[in-house]
Amino acid sequence: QHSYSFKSYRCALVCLLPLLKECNSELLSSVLPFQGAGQDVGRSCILVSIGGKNIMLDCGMHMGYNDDRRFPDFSYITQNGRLTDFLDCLIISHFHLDHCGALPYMSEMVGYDGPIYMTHPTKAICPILLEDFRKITVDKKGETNFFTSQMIKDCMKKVIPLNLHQTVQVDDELEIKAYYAGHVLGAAMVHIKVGSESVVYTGDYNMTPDRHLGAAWIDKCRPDILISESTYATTIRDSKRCRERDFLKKVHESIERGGKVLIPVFALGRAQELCILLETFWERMNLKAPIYFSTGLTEKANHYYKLFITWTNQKIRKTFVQRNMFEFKHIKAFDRSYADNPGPMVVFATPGMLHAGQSLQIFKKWAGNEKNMVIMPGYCVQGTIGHKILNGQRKLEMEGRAQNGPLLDVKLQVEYMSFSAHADAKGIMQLIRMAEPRNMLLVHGEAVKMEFLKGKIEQEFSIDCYMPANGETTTVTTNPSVPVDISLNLLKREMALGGPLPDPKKPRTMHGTLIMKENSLKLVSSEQALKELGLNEHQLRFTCHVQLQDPHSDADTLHRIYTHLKSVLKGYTIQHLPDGTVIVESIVIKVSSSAEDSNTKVLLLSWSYQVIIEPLLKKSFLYPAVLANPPLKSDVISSFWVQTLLQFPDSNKHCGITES
Amino acid sequence: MDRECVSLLPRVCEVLAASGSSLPDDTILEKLLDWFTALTEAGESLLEACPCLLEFISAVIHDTASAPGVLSFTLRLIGLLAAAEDDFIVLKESLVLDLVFSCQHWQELGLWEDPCIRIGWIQGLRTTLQHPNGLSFFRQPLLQLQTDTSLFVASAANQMLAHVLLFCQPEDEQNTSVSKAVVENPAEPMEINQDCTAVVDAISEYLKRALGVPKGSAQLHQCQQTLRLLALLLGQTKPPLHDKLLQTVTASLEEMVAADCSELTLPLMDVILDPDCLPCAPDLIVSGILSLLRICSGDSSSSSAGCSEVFRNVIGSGKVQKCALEALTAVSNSPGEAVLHKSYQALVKWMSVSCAIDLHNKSHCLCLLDLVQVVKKRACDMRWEVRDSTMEFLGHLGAMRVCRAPAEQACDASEALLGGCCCTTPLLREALQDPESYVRASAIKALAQTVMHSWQEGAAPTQEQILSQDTEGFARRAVVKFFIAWFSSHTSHTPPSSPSVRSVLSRGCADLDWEVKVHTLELAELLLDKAFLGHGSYTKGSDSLVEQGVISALLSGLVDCDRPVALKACRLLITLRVTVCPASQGDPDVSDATANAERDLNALNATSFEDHSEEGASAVSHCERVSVCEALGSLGLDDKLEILSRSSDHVHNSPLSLLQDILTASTSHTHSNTQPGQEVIVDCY
Repeated sequence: QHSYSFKSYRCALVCLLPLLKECNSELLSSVLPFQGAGQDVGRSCILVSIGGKNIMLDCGMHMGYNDDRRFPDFSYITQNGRLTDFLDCLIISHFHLDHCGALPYMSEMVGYDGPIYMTHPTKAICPILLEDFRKITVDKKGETNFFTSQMIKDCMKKVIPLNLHQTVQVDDELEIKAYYAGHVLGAAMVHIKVGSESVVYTGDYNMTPDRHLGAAWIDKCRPDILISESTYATTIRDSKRCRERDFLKKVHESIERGGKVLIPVFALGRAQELCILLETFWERMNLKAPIYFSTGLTEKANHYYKLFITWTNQKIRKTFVQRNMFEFKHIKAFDRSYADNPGPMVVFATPGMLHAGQSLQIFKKWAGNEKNMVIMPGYCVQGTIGHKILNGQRKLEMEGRAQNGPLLDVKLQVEYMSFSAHADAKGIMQLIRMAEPRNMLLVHGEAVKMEFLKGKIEQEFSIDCYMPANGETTTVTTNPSVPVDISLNLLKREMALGGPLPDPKKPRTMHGTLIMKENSLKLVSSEQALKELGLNEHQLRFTCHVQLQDPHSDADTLHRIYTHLKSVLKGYTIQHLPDGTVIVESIVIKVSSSAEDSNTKVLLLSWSYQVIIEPLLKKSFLYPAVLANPPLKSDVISSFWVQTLLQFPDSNKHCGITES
Repeated sequence: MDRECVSLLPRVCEVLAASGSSLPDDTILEKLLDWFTALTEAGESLLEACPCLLEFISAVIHDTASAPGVLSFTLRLIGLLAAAEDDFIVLKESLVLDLVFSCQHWQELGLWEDPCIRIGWIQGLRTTLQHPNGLSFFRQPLLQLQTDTSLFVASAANQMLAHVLLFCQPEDEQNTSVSKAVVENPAEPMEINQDCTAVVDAISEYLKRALGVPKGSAQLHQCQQTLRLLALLLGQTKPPLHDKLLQTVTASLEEMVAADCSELTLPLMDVILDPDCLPCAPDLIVSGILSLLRICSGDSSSSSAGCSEVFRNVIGSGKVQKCALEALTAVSNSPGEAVLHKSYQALVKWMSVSCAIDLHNKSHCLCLLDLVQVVKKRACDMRWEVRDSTMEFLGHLGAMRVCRAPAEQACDASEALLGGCCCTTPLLREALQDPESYVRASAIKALAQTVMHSWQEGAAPTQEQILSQDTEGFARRAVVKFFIAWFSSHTSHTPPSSPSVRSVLSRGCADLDWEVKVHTLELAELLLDKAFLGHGSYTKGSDSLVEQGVISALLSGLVDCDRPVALKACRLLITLRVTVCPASQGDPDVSDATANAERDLNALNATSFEDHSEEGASAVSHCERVSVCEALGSLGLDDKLEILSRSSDHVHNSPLSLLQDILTASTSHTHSNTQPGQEVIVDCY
């Protein structure tokens, strides 16, 4: 007896929001639709904001609902269907419906009209699965608001196909690159880059090669965030060989005792792996019982695997010339009349959850015989026969039987065997080692298990690991390095000022004007900046009135100030001009008496800002006071003067700054 | 409520209350709520019908170990119950409402952190607010939840706030939903009106405070959320409240627009733009768009100086072109996609709404010559998308009637634009060999649109070949539709006498694609109609039907595993029975007939063919008619129709089935707990 629990997928909405002002980025991650938050089966849909770009990753469908709840609710992102304005692109990782099922809904019904990217095989196979699912929804009468064949086509026409390892420029700033992900034919991981910031999204991937696909691989691209699925977050999967042996043993036993084996599958995907497995076994054991595959699908699968042979594993590619692995000797097309044939047989039939169509029809025929067997290789939603029998129900009410009539007695053996190709904990760690991300984000897994893996990752790689719940946003701060060109003149001038030679490990301050021109940044001298921008130079002059009590005449007061400054600021040019002004460098000082009270003197200070004043300040005994002041230079200067004048008793300060 | 469901519900409640986090499928709680909602909407009092719900509620909310998912479900259930005024009173008296709608309670339990509790809380509260009594539970935390870290919570809070405000909206003087309720229930009118005013004031005050130029990421988030709320509100409120809201926020909005914060552009546009108002006359817009399109394609003859910067950015911009074409299509009122596809769409649309084409006008002629060149070139483009759009375009033109110059007669648009079949037919014929099935399908569809019957007849063998050989359903579907179009365009009652009818029907019925089968049955339907209309005699009609294989098609369709096929066949067979058989022989109750349908089919065909081999005795045809009626009667068509008309999952997706699933899952879980290590992860593979 197997316990049967649904893996709860999380579909995350991840945003990398840049806040240019603070020169860092934020990563928001939250999960799309469905009010329940938390547990959710299927339906991947992640929103990433990076460097001001919004990218949607996957657009999956939830197969457990018959209404709009099956699709992501895009009104969370924007109302009035302005998705095209908001999103810069949409990337689909592979053709499984929990990753692409809502695509026609999004593009044809909600009205997203921007670029959609997926690999060539995904683009070719996606419509087949979408058509398959559309058929099921037509069978269900309560279905509302589902897309049509024409919509599927129109949507696929908008898709821009991706080649592996080819950098695609979405716009001037945003580029994406696809990597091989294993999992199913055409599955890809994608590296998304804006400026110096980047994110990798894995989709579903597999780090060990299987019978028809290779293992996932990625460059050491050191992304800011690696968003990884974590379906098997805590599992170190039992050896694949064991599982395969178990599967073959069960099928073989059933065939030996004259039973029939039904394997409900989805049209394309893991079914082909099982076919190769059985084909090889039949060959080796010289078995005679027929194997059938649902009508039309073998040809179709064969066609696509031939077309995309470069996407399969090395062995298949190498032997392809002598023998196409997908041209099966033992597996034949199924006709509905074969189900009544006597004797053992194995049948792959669609759809995969025993909810309608051929697989259900065969199941009904074979359920009553304990010699027969059904092997469920995957997930079944509530409301399907697959779900019921996996939960152990043995009496099934069947449509068309009289009210309260006899129930269908399920006597056949029910087995569950997953052959899905996801990375296990070991594989996830391996990918982290490959890509060397700065942060890790886990999606598409169960909370408890992800928690365990998170701990492991943080411990082994010393990086932060996030696991946002559905609808939650994760923000990650990045330190983008912004490259800036520097003018040769400025560089020479800086060098002339002396100091150590440039050293890449030691940052050094440089003064200049930063110009942003045609999307590039340039540091130049202020003179050059003025020239390039065609601007005139203005000089700021600051004035400041300081009142102080001094009974002497205006001329005497000025002289006293002159003497004082002379003593304090040694080595500076201080002049007492005959027109009644004192000049310290560029600073002009005048004295006048107040109209009301001749003892009150008003000093007028006036100066223009010059770099030369700074060393002047440094040498004065008031330097600490200057340092303590706010960075506005004029304030610094005036407070310097005010402080210098403080030794005059009862002086009132009235400072003002004017621009001249 | 179903008696069996009522009997299962208490046990289900027990299971759920004790389930912890081990629920087998996360959709079941949603589906359970769906069912309860449907019951409430049907006017049932849930508490009356299932008193166990009250016990369940009390058990869950007082148990500190309840799973958050179940708690969230319970909160929403409580809301649903409290929406009915009678149940509201019961719940209020049992103090449930005061407890569960106090967020302090959840905070103290440390559960408020879990977003699914907050969601449940909001949604429960929202459903409660169906009558004025509920207003007393309007809580301030709602305003804070509007900027919650969870997108779901924040959005639900927005919806809730909009709901509350609309609920309190003084529609016109005397006619609020609240004041209506007050009239009906004049117990505490003052209090309720005060509640209302307080709620409206609190929300408007909040809007005023929350909007403004944001100074940090937290404020930005709040602004975005509030703008969303505002868009919701302005879209739904009516004059007095609408105006009041606008007045409250105008200053802040102006300030925000002026601040030009890129993150706020979209939500601001949502608020500001009224979707239905066109800023100026359509003619001006059209000429504007056209000149924009000209610039996009590099034609700057009309450019004025000083715009070079603009031109540099606009020339060749697919984005601008798409938008422009979209706008062009929108101005003529139709939905619109890639540039070429959109151009075609726009052209088709404009052809259908606008002017006659004047072939004597020189510039028109030149234009048309260009178009022919473009279409020819695009028909052999590298990309299948382009080829497909071109084929679709030809199909649309073929189907459209336009009048040329004022004096001339109407013709189809492809003739007017492309000079008719001599140009389009070779292109379409070529496309029948296209490697991409979508393109083949579009070409077939376009051929079906051409009204030249003689040519269609010539194309029939090719089409048949496609039907028997094409590996993709799309093309085969299109072939069957081609025959439907062809046969229905025939004015005579006898369809074209080529042997193709029989072979199309038999091939179509045996197809792997369900839609090919459905279309084949549509073809059969057409033949049925024609046979009975034309012959006036049932005998002759049914003779030809048998000969063409229509009856075989219907019978094989009836036993098809694809439901839409079986349903269509069943409906047609019933029509046939009604037409052919005397009323008395309606539908005798033959229980096991369905399984024998295929045998019947053979028998029927055998009889009909034997009859035909004998030479025209009326007795024979009478004999045959009896056998057809007997056969039709033995199929149990009416029962079958009833089953097929229902949803394929009506048995297994019913409330009863749901309750059973919850119960079985719980027992299978208890068993498996004794076998650790046996757990299997099930996923989408």
